[in-house]
Amino acid sequence: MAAIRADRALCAGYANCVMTAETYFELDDDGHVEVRRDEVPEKDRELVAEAVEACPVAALRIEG
Amino acid sequence: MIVGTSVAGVRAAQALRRNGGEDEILLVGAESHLPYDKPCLSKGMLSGAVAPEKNCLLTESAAAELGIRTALSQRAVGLDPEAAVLHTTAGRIPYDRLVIATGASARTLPWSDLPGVHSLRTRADCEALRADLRRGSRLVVVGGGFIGCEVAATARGLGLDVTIVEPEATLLPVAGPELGALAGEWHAGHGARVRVGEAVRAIVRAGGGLVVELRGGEVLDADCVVLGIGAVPNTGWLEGSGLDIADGIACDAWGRVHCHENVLAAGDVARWQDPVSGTARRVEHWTNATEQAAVVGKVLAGASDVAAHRVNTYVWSDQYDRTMSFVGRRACATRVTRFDDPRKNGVAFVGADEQGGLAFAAVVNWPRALLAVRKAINGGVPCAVVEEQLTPAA
Ligand SMILES: Cc1cc2nc3c(=O)[nH]c(=O)nc-3n(C[C@H](O)[C@H](O)[C@H](O)COP(=O)(O)OP(=O)(O)OC[C@H]3O[C@@H](n4cnc5c(N)ncnc54)[C@H](O)[C@@H]3O)c2cc1C
Ligand code: SF4
Repeated sequence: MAAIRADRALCAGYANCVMTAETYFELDDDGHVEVRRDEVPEKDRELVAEAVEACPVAALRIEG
Repeated sequence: MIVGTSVAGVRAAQALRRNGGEDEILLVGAESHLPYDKPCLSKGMLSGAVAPEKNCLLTESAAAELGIRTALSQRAVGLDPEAAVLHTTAGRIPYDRLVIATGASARTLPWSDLPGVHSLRTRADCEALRADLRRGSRLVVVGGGFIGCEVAATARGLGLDVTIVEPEATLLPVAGPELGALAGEWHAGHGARVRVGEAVRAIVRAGGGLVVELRGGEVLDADCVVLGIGAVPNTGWLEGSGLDIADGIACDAWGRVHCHENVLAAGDVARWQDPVSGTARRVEHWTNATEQAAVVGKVLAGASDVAAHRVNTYVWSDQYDRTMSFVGRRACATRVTRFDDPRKNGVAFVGADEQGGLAFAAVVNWPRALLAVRKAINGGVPCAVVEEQLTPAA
């Protein structure tokens, strides 16, 4: 199964990832991304990949 | 084939692959650099915090992995949609399907060609401006919109003497007078001079520098001038193609160009039909460009149930230590209310339309409020519900 990697230091809280894939991402009170579920089943891969591409500062990656 | 190697073009190619499309992809672009992203040009790349090679949308290896060929340093100069041929500076290229993502160019003034007068749209612009900012000490920014304000903030960070000239009554006029007034305070607080309600009458070279004359009679000495006065869609090369290019290429809500089923368009160059209001609009923001590209990629891949794209007016801007965001249209709001985040100097202005719907919101340093208004504006949530979410619990 693929996994999500988030670089919280890069994240600027634009929330594009949350808007694209709310079941996988949320923002904490400081406006940093929090990954709600690390593992991405094949059926959601496209959705998560779209969220990764929606991040303006390339803080997200999908591995595997 | 995709023309335009910026965020809309690259994301369309990636989305096509992600959705299983196996077509050959050729990315044709006028610039010689690998695809790079624009927002960084007025922020990290201008300040020097981000090295140019770090700002890359599609590395050579990523392109190879996705089977995307690039044809850089080739400008499209004409289109024959009947014959399905693109004409470029390097010759004619036939295509099966074409995505137009040629974006926009910075608007110019009669003094744009003077040495020391800059626009900021490309990596080359950014490098030239950065070199001048390092040499000079006095910068005049013409236009107090998002890009002008970001350049001013970055230049203050580099220690320059900065004056912003904005003809409207506040900075950031599209974001409304409330946020504009706040932005004026931050810029003044960081030592930038702000001249609102003032337009430029002329710019002349004098001695080694520049002189900016304002309509009101004030004269500003400068080493360097930046014009941040908006952008115009890059459709000049489509003259004579028969496409409707009045303020951007006219498309339906999936990016399909009217009457030309093999041609799609996305990003700053495109004027998409909004499925709800029925009107067509061109938007010049990053998130809208990526969302449109994602839709175009799905359509190209032959996905059956692609949802019509709703025009997205979300834009963010980073100035000094503030991240501000703005959704919807200020002009549609009849009542604007201010909310403050008790903990973190967060501010949100929320605008209701006549029916009590959420028409607009501007949010500064308050991520939760940003998320609330972004969800609400997409979901048609009433303004009162959003206002309640932003009111601190007693
Ligand atoms: C300095 C700056 C800062 C910004 N900051 C923000 C921000 O903070 N937040 C935000 O939401 N938005 C921001 N934006 C806006 C955002 O960057 C744009 O909306 C986005 O880049 C649009 O992407 P695009 O691919 O449609 O067009 P563009 O980025 O304009 O790219 C068009 C590409 O097409 C190429 N091209 C043009 N004509 C031809 C031709 N005839 N033949 C071949 N190639 C051609 C160009 O060289 C370019 O590579 C900023 C823009 C700038 C300029
Ligand atoms: S899109 Fe990127 S910057 Fe924005 S919240 Fe998600 S990870 Fe952070």
